[in-house]
Amino acid sequence: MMMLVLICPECNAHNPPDAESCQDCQASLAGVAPSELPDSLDSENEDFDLFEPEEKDLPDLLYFLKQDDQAEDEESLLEESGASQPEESPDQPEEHTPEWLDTVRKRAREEEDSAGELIRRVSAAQETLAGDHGESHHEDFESWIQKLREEARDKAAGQDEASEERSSGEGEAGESDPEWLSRVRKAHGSLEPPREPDAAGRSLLEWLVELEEGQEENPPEEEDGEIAEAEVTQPIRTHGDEAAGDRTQEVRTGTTPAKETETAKAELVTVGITRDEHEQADLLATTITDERADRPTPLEKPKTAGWLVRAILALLLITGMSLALFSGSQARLPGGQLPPAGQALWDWAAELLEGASLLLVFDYQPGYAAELELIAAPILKETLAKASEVAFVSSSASGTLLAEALLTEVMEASAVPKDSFPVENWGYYPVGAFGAYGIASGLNASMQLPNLPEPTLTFPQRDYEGILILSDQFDGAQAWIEQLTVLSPDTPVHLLVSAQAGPMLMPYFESGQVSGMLSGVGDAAGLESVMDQGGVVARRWRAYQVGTLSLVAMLVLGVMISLIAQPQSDRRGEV
Amino acid sequence: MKKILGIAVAIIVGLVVLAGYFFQSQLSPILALVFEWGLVLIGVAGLIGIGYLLAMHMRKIVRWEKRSFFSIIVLIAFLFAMIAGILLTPQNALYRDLVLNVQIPVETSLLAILAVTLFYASLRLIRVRGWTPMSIAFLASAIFSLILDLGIIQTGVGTIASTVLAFFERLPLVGARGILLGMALGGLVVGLRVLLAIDRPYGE
Amino acid sequence: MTWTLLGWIFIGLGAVILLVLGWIIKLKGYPPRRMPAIQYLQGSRVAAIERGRHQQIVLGHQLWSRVYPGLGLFALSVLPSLLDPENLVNGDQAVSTSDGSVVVFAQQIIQGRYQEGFSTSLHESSVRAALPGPTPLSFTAGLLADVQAHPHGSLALFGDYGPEAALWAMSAARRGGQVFAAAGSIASQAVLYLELRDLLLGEEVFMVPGLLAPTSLNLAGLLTEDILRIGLILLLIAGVILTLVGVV
Repeated sequence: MMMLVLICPECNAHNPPDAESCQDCQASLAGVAPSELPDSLDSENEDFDLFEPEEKDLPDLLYFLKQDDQAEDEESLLEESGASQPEESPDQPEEHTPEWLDTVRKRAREEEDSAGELIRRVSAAQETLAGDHGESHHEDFESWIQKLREEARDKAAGQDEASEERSSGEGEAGESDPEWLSRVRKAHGSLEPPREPDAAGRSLLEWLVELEEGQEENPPEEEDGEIAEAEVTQPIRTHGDEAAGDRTQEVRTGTTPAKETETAKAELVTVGITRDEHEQADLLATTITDERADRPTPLEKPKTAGWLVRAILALLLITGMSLALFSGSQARLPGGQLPPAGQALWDWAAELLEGASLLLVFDYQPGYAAELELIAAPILKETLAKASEVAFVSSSASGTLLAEALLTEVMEASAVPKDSFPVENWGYYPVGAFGAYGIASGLNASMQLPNLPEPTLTFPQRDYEGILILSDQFDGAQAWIEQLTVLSPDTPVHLLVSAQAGPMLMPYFESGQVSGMLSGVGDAAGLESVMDQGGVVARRWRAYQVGTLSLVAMLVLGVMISLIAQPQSDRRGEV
Repeated sequence: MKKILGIAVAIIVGLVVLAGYFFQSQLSPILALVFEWGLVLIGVAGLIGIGYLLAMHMRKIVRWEKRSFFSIIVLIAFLFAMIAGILLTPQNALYRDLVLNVQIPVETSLLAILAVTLFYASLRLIRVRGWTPMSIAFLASAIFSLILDLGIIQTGVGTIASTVLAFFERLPLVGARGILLGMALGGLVVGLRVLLAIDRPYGE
Repeated sequence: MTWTLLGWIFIGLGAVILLVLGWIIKLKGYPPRRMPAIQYLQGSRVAAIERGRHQQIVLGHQLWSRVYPGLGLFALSVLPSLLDPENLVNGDQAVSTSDGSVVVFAQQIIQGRYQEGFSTSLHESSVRAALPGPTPLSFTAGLLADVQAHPHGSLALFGDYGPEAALWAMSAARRGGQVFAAAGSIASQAVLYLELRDLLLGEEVFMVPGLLAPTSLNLAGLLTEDILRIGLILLLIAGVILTLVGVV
């Protein structure tokens, strides 16, 4: 009775005909044609393996060598495969091939790539060995084998009955024996693979030994669930030039039962391969093969979509803010009132007496010049009209230029003559914090040493009616506040800062260290409404509101998109 | 020897400044001297930084690296601005216009690009960060703060609503102070590590 | 007992703990936090070398500031950990800052690391400190030009910088670079949180030296900071309670 099974193309495991994936390696069985197996084999191997349990540990080389060796007589074997009987004479060993071997050969005929890379390599190696230069490749190997053979023979205690039977068997086999078998018989007259008394199953090597001995052995019964783990030496043969003599390679298999001989047990140099190691070696070979397989190059995701989205968003933002900026309608100002800090600052400016002296600190970058001019211009217009003396220091690289530009613009706008009062430039301090500290600490030449640089600037020792700090950053303004409020505790300090610095500086107003503060376009627009002067700032405030609302809309839209779209792959570090 | 000298100078100066807090009257002249030297050195470091900038561009030109043509433009502009500043002085209106009319639009454009970048990034906040408590809290606080900043919500003076609104307006400040406390703590440990020669930022 | 005196006691305690843990006990077993961002930083630097792409380390805009006093020094303390022999020999790595004093220190550190790794007579390294611009926005313009000219495999941001860091990150990331940021300032934290996954916020940045190079001294610094943090929390709670009760 034949039974249909699906042989896995990856691991050669047997699977039920209706299986969709391999039970062992989970490979897909789609497109795999069912193969016929005799029931006897299937019943013996519950896991539908091709090999007997004791044969699982046979090294691949042994198996493949056997396959290659019999490939030469493939045609004759195919004719006789159907009549394979265990009782056949050893003259025709191919007729005693196990069913699993027939299955493999059939598959090898049907599928071109079933032989595997290793088999092809071995075949190629054998062809090379069979060539004219084959002898040269095996000189070293031959010497090793020769050494082993000599050691074994030296310790042999004479020929046993088995070797005589083998000799007789050789004579009967005669010329019909395969070449490899002849060599085996010649080389291993006294070597017989030991056999575990409790060995289970029928093994390839055992079959080889049987052929040598010229007798058929009954397949040993398989023990319940246990496979012999004995380390025994099994001779296997490598193909090569006959003139080079017999060359054998011995390998120890972990689960191959065989006859024991004293010589085989004692003296041979063998390499132990356990079942786990064998499986790992197979896995390694599979992994190497898989890694060398051609793979399609992953296509990079086109990034034009991201660029397009950015461009569209930028266009939307610019369009919206431009419409708000140039539409012409009056903007709704924040409550029509200044916050308390701004009101305090405006009140101080409005109540400033004539002939006041002012100190201006410029601590902002040119990029924030537009915002700070919006904030500072109304205050400066109000105060410069009453000032009699103005001094300024700067702690940004372009602070001096920005100061000159702002003062010139304000004076022109308020029709104040530029030379109506002196404007003193007290210079530029490279680092705002250090400059402020330097001013506060005095920087006087109390300890003058020869050849030491003098402090270039000293803080003007006069009472100012007000100090205005123009800053775009919290930390710069904080440094100036802390130093100036200590240096001149009676001088009111006011802040004209950008929107990002305002919230962090509010505690200084609430604690009384700062007398007033205007922060951002919103406060500037409120001041404009209080002063009742046009709507220039109001339109900018409206554009600011449009931008802020757009940002809120983007955040909300992003949440909605993330709920709908698939999550991004976890590619860290990238935007 | 060179290493030991650097470490010794750093530790001694650090300890002197620290001790000056407790012994102000005795150490004030030394402290003043140290600070003056520090200010001079910082100013010189600024010039050295400019030197590094020039050296970087000159190296690009000499090696003719990619986009080294723009390095030529940078050097020409630098020389022009420096020579014009020396000859015309920063008080000159022409010089002021020349510099500011280039610098202000360039920096303003960078800030505008930053605004658009943040605009786009806000769209991808959840996709980048995922649905974590931190990102949800950030999202909620950002939306709320932005709406508050618009001035849309108006309340009467002295009402409960104004108190609640003032509370929420202070929350970002509370968070910022917490961050600053942590940064101060970290700065303290960093300073101690320098004083104890564990870290040597002045080179080894 | 004033709050100022209490603060000084706090500082003195920190110094003693650091001294004991770093030099006397020589702490070795303190497990630092697991920060995936640090691991990705190290991986991105290796990948940048393997792919032949440029690496950039930004050290911020200033060495010292009133608000963030330790950020500049922190950036310089991280730099030696990022200058391994492979990067020094491979080159194609730049260290950028907009502060003259920071760039001088950085160049000293690079030369010192090179001489330590190879020979004291060799002081030339292909890794150089650069100053693309003296102000934050001019630095941004210079850095963006460099990012566009050289495909960056890794961009690491340390030190004191502002919201313009969002432009650096976006520019590098759009060209396939991996961006890591230790954001200490408030403004940079806010903008970079929108863009980056590999981001350390606030006082987390001070753990970077201990995570990159877990030597006994760095681990001692970590543990000291943790102890001081717990002490500070307790002090704050105590202060609030005392204020509510009316004692203070």
